[in-house]
Amino acid sequence: MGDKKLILVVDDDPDLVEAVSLKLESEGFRVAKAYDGIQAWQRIKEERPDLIILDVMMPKKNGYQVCDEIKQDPEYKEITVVLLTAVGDAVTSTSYTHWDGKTALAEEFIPKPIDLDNLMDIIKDYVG
Amino acid sequence: MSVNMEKIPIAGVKLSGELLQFNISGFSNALDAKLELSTLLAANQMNMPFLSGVSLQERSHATGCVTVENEARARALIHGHSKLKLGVEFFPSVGLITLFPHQSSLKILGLSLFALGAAHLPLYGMGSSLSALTLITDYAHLEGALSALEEHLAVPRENDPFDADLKEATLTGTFKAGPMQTIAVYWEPRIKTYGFQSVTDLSLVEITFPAQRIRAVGLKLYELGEVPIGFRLVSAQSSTDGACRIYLLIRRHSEQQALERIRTVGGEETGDRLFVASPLELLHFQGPHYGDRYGIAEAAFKALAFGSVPVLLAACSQSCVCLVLPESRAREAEMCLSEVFEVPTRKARFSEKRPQTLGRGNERQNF
Repeated sequence: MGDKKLILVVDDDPDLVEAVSLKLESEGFRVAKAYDGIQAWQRIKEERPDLIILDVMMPKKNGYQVCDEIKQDPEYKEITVVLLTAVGDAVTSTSYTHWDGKTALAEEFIPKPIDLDNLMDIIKDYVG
Repeated sequence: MSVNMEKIPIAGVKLSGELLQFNISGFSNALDAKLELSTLLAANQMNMPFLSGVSLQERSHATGCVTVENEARARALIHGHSKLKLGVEFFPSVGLITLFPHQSSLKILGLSLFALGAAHLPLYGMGSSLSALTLITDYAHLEGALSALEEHLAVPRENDPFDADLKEATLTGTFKAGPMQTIAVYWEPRIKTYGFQSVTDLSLVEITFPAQRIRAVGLKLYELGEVPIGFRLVSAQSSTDGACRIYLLIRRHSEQQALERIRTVGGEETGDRLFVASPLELLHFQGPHYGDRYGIAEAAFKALAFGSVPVLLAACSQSCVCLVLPESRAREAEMCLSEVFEVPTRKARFSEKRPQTLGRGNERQNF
């Protein structure tokens, strides 16, 4: 375990969680997984990740809500949050808008689909 | 033969709404049933949350599902298709039960089939994606299927496989108005994908057995999981003649060991028919909301047909498209698919980083 950074991957798409996790592990990171906002909080409290990759559009509690809660919690606000969302210029949605992401407290806001190598570059920028 | 079966933890289970399933079969390879089906439904803007198809031993078979809201239209379209209507079987009121992650575990696969068989629930179809295993059974018995699985798989206590509004609507026959959840409408000149991954040197094992033996076959696959053989892809089909076929894609170097174990239970031949095709390759790709959008499968199969790349087996579920191809064809398939599917390039930095001068914490900054 040692110095390996822990990345929490949160997305209601289990296939994306798996793909990102495999990439992270191949790059030498430890990985925790969650599939909705409530599971995400459980993992955060249990394992205190160094960085969270967080999908926006999720059931039960969306990524914006989770991000806001993390950033307003003194114990966890320093954890880096990277928001991922499929919401973008080519998409309309009844619940989310592109501009909502602009006001989130996350360190990064990345539209899907993202090149996984690109995502690794961003993660390494933050956690090394 | 009794086996001490461990309870294996998984992360979650999802249950679908009510669906109509259709099986298209009985054709030679001259008709690619999955291409015809996906083209027909995509042209009518109908998504299939599940699609699988196989073309082996001069037989072509496809299984697809549409939501119950699209049932009447789907039936009419298929009945109106000159070829598809000749080999179609409809299975109304089915549902998908999806567990994840499957961990490529034959034990999890075996336990899932064993559980369904032990609960006397039918298996109408099955398919795997990168992380999830989806089984098709009666919609009315989805909760029963979940209970059966929970006897053998440790599902998290907070798992709530139903959407809360859908569950209440199902139980009370009413619909509670509320904010809509994730419904994305896409239009893209080229469909975006996370990228293509391929695996070579694989064997596809087809196991044909009477549907009533599903419990025994599940147990057999569980036992096969005692040795380090994982699956790369799994698919299954059932037909009204009582036969069930499971397709298991495994590493070729595990083929002999797997066949030996599958053929016998307790040292005796089971009579289940086996067929093996190898060497083969697997190509899979995924993208945002593929499972919610129509046209993904059609785009893929058309691109491959245009390039004359044969697909022996396809499984489209969750957000993944998984394709089993003859040896040395994966690279060619990827090139064909790259004409219609766009992979983001590494060099462009898409993210919008918060400027370092802006603070964190409770400050809200508009970009």
